[in-house]
Amino acid sequence: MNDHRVVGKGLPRIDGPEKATGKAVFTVDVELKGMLHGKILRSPYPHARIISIDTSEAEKLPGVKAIMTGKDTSGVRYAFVDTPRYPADETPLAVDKVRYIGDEVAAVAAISEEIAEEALRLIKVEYEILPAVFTPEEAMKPEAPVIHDAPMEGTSAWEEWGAATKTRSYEKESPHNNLNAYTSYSIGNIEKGFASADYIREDRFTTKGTAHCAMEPHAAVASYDPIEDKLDMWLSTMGIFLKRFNLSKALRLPISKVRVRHSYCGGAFGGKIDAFPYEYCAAYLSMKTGKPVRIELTREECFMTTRQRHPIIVDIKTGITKDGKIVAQDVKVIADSGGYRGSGAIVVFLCHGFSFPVYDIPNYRYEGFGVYTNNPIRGPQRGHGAPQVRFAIDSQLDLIARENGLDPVELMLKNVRHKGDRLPNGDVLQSCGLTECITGAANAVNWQQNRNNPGAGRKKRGVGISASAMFSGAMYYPFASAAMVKMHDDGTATLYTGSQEIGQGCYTTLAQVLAEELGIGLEDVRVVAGDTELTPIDIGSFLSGGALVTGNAVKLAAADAKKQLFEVAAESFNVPIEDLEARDKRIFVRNDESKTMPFAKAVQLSVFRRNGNPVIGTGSYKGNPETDRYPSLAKAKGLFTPAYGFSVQAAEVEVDTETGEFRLVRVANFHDCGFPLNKTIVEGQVEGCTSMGQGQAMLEEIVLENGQLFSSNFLDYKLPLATETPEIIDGLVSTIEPNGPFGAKEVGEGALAGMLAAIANAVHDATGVRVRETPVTPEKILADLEKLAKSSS
Amino acid sequence: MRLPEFDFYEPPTLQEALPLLTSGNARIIAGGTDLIVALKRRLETPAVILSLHKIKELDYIVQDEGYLKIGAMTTLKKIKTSPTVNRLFPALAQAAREVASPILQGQATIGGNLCLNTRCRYYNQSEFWRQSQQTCYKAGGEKCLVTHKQDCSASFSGDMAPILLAWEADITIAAPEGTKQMSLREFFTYNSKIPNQLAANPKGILTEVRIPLEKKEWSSLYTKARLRGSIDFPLAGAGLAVDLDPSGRLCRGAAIVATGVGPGPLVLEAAGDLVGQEITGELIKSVAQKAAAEIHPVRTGRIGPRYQRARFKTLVIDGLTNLAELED
Ligand SMILES: Cc1cc2nc3c(=O)[nH]c(=O)nc-3n(C[C@H](O)[C@H](O)[C@H](O)COP(=O)(O)OP(=O)(O)OC[C@H]3O[C@@H](n4cnc5c(N)ncnc54)[C@H](O)[C@@H]3O)c2cc1C
Repeated sequence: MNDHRVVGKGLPRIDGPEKATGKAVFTVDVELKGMLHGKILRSPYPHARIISIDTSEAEKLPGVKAIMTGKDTSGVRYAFVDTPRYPADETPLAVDKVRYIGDEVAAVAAISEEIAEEALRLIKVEYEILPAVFTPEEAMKPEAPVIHDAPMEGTSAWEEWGAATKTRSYEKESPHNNLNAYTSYSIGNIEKGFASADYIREDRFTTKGTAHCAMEPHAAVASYDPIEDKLDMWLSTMGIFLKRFNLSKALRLPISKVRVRHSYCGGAFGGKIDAFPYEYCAAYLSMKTGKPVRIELTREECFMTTRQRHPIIVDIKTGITKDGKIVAQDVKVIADSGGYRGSGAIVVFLCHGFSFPVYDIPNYRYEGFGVYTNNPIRGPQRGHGAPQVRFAIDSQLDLIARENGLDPVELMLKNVRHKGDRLPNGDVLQSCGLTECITGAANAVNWQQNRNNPGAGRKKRGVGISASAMFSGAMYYPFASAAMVKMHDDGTATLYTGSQEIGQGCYTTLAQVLAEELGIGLEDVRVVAGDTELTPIDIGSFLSGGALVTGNAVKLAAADAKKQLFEVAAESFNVPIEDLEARDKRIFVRNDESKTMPFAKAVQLSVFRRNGNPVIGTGSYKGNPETDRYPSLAKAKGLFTPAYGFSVQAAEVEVDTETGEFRLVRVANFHDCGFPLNKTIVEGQVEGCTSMGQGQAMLEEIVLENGQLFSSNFLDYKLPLATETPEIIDGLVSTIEPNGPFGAKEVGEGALAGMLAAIANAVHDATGVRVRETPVTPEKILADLEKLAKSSS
Repeated sequence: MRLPEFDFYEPPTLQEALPLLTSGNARIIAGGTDLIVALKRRLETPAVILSLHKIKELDYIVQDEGYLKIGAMTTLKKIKTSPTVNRLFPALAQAAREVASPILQGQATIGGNLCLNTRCRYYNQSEFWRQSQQTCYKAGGEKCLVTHKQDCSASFSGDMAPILLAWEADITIAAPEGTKQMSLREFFTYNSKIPNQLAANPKGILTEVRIPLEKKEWSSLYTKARLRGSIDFPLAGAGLAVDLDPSGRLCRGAAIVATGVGPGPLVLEAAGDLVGQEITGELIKSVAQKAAAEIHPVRTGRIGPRYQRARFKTLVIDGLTNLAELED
């Protein structure tokens, strides 16, 4: 492992200089000749029928070039999830009904943003207001207003592509009203499991919605060429090939007639992968006017309409034996999906999928419900279900430990899974650093000394801990990544990859993988990326598959290029190919120092001797090489991922018992990422997760009242600031994942998930106050401290 | 969100500025950190915007005639870093440091801070947002959406006013018909809808704030509770000033002023209980209790009134304990 030359080091990012000097082009910077500006009229009501839309006044406004309404796009449907069981339920613009405040009703293209905004004021929409529902439990009741009528007609995208066939409708499995997704799963025998337990407890935990808060707002630029009938899009996104797939279906253009380019993306955090109406509106408006159109959302629109983390209710019942073995766990999850399904079908699967790899529980039952309400739509966000469900599981485990006089850390150690374990779905943990992460994080916060030791003064200290797991890619469209390595005359190389730099540093790490495998330096690699026309297909920067799936494709492509170079060198030196090795852009013959050849020479020889072959290496890798099927969202069956990343967060807090205010003193965030391809980037991801997790545990909250958002700007939505940032101790646990390139697997999502329970548990350790609903705030703590004081006096 | 259309004037002198106020529907802009947001949200749609930016005669900090005088256009950054302010009235520099964030302090002025509009979660929202609701009372509707009364409960959340009121500061207002002096207390109307004498259609310009120099002998501080260490408005704030005899125990004068919890900066009567007394931990607790009972926060923000009141009480206890140099 120590003989690596490029991977494993904290090398500077290749996109750094461009970004630091302001040269980097983000989607909001894309300017095309004759470009128009688009704006979207949105519903001010949470649930209403559209009676009429009158655009005549707006059309008369000088500078307005096109206006579209649901009429122009009727019949078109699309969604992030579009499978036979979960057919698409969204339209680019509302056709008959609006289902949440912010739902898209009309779109305008004009010569300036001011004129487009003014035009929106002139569009008259008549609504019939319908009864609305704002909590999933209310929505599930038989008498609740029905938000979606019968599913829309037509075949799903996945059927069209041939990846899926009809399955059972979820409505038949569970009779609740307004359901949009249902997952159920069990192993062992839950009743027998509880019967064998010495201690059982039941709790309810809930989490609030949170926002992604990418610095760059969501934006799309569309440019349609009527002569070629071809659409060119620039998107601030995480998955250009998934976007192309969805756009081509909805716009009824052949997939090869849609080109999606990725400019730099100013942050995503899961919030730029769902399919968004503004992207379709930009495309339609460009098709209608024949001019490029840019739509850039306001910050308020970002908060309101670009999906939030699911608020989730978790009912959890757990049984343990005297010696601390969890023998039964029953988890029921209700996710509020908002007005459309969004990623509702996925989150109720992932609440299970990201959680059951942590503890080995013989008798386990899981049920997940995705429910429509008239709240904003929810989608993927860093960890996608894991923070919510880990908050419940590890908060409860802490309570169980306290009630039974056990040490939570020992309880975790007794129940966690290990390397070599086979999960009930068949996934095998080829690497698993959970135990090292737990002990490492606990030691870093002096667990044994600090636990149950709040101190005597007004300010009390406490520690808490939690763990989580995360996929490293999975079988989701487009199911695979491919890469191309093009050699140059001077022995350097260009990488062609469809992956996207969203701030996570993948251009650098992928270039490192290439350089290491090929035997050149990082400075010898250029990256061409993020363009569906120029680059091979890529699974995209979501589901944490970048390092493992795309990384493997790049490694294979580099190996292919190297093999071609070796072939000409072996022939020239007249030695077996196995005797060759490469470093510093040269080929060496093992045990014969006299024979060596620069890559440049090998490229030249290849051109001369192999009919002009300039050496282009290719490689590909699948979301999960061991299966041809995507996992069943409904039954949680099938293989999920080639490797799980694991992480553990331990937090130390100091609570002022007079005010309830508390400070996060220290966080130890230990992540088993298999192998850190770039140490600095991995640390950056772990620290980013720490900060985001801290915010969601302590401050952040999508505040809604009757579907209306009270936190739609950075004053009202409380992100943690530098002033709140704790001491962060990152621990990188290296386990060398056999399926990963150089042993790498997931980093960047999982390390957030345990922050919620770690902080809630630490507050409990300090004060005895248990907060069961995120965020854990001074107001809640003080109210509980007052109650505790009353009940003890 | 884009700005509405308006005529914009930036005269270089006060004399040229004043006539522009009579043009009808005009608004004054100083640092703009509050007004620009209101304009983008169409909470204000004036025909004329009068900028004080170029009027250099309103930017100063001087000692004169027994007062520390501060020009209305002096930025909070200048106040927090001014050696004079830090020497004479460190609590004022402290208050300036507590406003918004360092970046905003570079732009925000003391005049704008005193003229700050009141805030409410139903009022400080975008034009689109407000379409979903009935119009709130402050925005011209029938009823307050918090209390459902024909009255506004938006809360005053300026951080500079409390300590200035504790020192009985006064201000100068220049108007076309002449200049007048008034106490800061008079300036605030304690009417959430029109919170000060220059709100709505201003007939004058606030030009100066004066603090009587004798107040520098008082022990003073401004203390603020907020959700995060920067940016956030106060969920409760307290300006505290006590005049202690040289022994440091006997209190000869006292003031407690609250912000963030009512229609204006509230001068509380509870402070009277300190006067003529030896300050003890017990006394502080009872004064704080009484002070907290005098405020009546309404749920105009994210935090509940119950917590605001409790937090305000602790602010007063901790602040007075600190000023009296008692041990915690
Ligand atoms: C993110 C954010 C956080 C904030 N946090 C805080 C906070 O923590 N504490 C706090 O106190 N404030 C806060 N503010 C509000 C504001 O920034 C400050 O109050 C600032 O001091 C206002 O000064 P200004 O010069 O920018 O005012 P402007 O926006 O220019 O004006 C504010 C109001 O005063 C009027 N006005 C200004 N000057 C005069 C004058 N000389 N005569 C008559 N009328 C005048 C204007 O017409 C306007 O109505 C915050 C603002 C933002 C955007």
